[in-house]
Amino acid sequence: MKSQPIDSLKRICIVGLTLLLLVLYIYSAVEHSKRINLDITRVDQEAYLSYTRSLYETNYNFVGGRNRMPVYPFLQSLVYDPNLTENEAFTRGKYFNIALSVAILPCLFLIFQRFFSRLQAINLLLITAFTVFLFRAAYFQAEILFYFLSFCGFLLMAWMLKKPSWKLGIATGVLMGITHLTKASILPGLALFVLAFLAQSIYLFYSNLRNKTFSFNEVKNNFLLRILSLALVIFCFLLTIYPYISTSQRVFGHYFYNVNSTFYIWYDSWNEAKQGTRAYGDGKGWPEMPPEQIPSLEKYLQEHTASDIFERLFDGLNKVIVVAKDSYGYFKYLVIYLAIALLTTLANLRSLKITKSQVFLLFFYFSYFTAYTLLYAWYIPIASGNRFTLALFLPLMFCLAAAINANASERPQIQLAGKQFSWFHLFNLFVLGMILFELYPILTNRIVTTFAGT
Amino acid sequence: MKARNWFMETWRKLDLKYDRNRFVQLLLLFLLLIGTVSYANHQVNLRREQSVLAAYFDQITNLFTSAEQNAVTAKNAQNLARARAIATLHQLSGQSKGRLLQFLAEANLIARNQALIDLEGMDFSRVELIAVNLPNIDLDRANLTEANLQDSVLARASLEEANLRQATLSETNLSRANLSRAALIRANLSAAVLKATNLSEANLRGANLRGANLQQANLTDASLEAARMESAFLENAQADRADLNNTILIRAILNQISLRDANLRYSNLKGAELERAILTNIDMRASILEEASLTDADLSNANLTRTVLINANMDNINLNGTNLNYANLRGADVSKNSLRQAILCHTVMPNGEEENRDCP
Repeated sequence: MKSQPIDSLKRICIVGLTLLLLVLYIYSAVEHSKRINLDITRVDQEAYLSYTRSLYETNYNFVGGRNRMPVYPFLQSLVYDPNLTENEAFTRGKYFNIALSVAILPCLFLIFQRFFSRLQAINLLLITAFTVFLFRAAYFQAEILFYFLSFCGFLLMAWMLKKPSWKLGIATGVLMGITHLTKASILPGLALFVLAFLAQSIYLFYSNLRNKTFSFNEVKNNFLLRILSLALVIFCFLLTIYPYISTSQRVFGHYFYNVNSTFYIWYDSWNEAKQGTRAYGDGKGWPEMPPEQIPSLEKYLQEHTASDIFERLFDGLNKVIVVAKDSYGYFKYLVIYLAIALLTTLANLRSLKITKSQVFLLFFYFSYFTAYTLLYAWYIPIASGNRFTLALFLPLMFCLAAAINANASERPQIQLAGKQFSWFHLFNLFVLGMILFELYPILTNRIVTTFAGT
Repeated sequence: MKARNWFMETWRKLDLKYDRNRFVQLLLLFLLLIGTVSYANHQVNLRREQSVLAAYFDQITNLFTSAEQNAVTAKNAQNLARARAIATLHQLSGQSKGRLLQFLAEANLIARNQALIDLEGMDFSRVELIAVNLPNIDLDRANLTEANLQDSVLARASLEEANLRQATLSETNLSRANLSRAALIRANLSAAVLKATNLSEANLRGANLRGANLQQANLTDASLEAARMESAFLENAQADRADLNNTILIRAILNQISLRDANLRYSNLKGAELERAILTNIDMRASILEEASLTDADLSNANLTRTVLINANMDNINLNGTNLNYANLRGADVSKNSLRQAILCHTVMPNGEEENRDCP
């Protein structure tokens, strides 16, 4: 009987604290939009507003220049009012993005809570909200939506590698399609997933045959079910993006035409791209310039030495780390989580059990992060800043938290004031204290001084 | 806690149970109540608007009657009439705005070239004037956003720089009207009569012009991006430098149209008639001209990269310097002589073979 009032009080406290943090988040994001992000011409916000306007004015019959993707402008067009001036439309768009980020945060919490303890989920949410999302919320850009969608896509792909099913295949394909239509940078991740999944399926087929624990028909059916799931991922993905890619094929001659991945990636600087295919109308059709001047991997390899390529990659990696380090404050959490994940894994290496099937999941994780880090490092001479690399933040934090979680039950126990505490509990309390303590400098100083495009 | 206990106790005592029939009855009662209140509110507003309009008509009548007797005050009367119109419009809804506009037109106060009241910038948004005759009126720079002028006659009207965004103008007669630099974004002009209408520099992005008659219309420098123009009639129209990017012109009649330096990228002209059309320097990249008739058309220096010309009739066409890279001419009726002047690279020829004569 006595526990009822305590529970109610606890609930009121939780609701009150959540509301307080939410108010702080919204207030800070709005202040950021009023004080820092005032110039629509900075980063590519003007281009997104123009895309939104064009979608609205052409009754959603706009082809676009194959630089930005249509999902985010479509969402913005739902709140677009042609009676507004450009500045008013910009302000409305920023507020819409803040609202979008607020809507995404509870979804993220639910995802975190499904895999981790409540305290861990709260920590991950607070770190994401106040060191990443807050600094990108007040912008007329697709980033926050993309971070969320690509994270969901990453989870679904990982889930497929753990426990594939046809339903999951459909969900993964559709979600990856929507993510691709938000920002066209998920194809390498999808390709790595297909590779890992195929390798895993073939391995399971042969190992199950060799073990003879299952009949041939069972092994064959299991294999076919896996292949069907994979085929559904690819089919649903292509089906979702088909209207877009078929237009690309008709107008630009390639299904996966995108000016960034087709041309700009093979330039050494943004100035080169501006004077190159961009000046020859790459957004209106295949650039009308001498074929030998059109950039491609082949041309890049012909014109650059191995040391040039390594130098670009090395410089890019260096910049990625420097930008992350000097950014909004998320870097230290990444380092802490990485360090603890490594330490606990190494400490419990003897009790670590990885099945051969899980090797493919680990391969997917590892190759995903490596490939994207290298890709973003490669692309940094064209587009500096951390907006691309931040797409890796949520998947990476998730994986590190999962690695820490896997060793949660292991020792050591720490004795404090005569009581035994698990290191895991103390670590999470430490992180919670850290992020709550950091809220003060974030909300009083960093948010009103740091521009997100840096 | 006390409050919570009290609430729970009261709820228990009330013994409220879900009764489906009672719920439906309550819902119907609620809807009826809302309907009655909104109808009463509408009637009150209508009466108020009628009295506002009647007062305005009286004021304007008195104003111009007294101004006629005193020439010096004529200008003041015009200014006053405009100011009163602005103030009155704020209090009116669409139908009443329509009555006001009709009154001004019939009193000959907004006649083209001799308007006594300048309607520039006046808020006629959502005005409703269905099937009325208002020819030769001056609505230059007026705000007619989302106006409903369906089936009306606005022939020879001046609507220069007027804002007609998302207006309904289907079957409206706008022949010889001046819509130069007007904003007609997403306007519905289906089956509208736009014969010899001046639409130069007008913005018709996303407009619906299905079956519209644009014969001899002036569309020079107009923007018609993504407009729907199926079966539209554009014979002898002038559309030089116009932007018809991604426009749907299926089965449209464009005979003898002038589209010099125009942009028709990604447009769909399947089955369209372009006989004797002037299409010099036109950008028609990735457009669809399947089964189109291009007899005697002049396509010199045009860009037809990736254009689909399957089964097109290209008899006696001028292809001097025309870029036909990656174009598909399978089954097209075109002479070798015409193709001799064109630029061919990865071009699918009428016989289905690929021609790479001019590849770099």
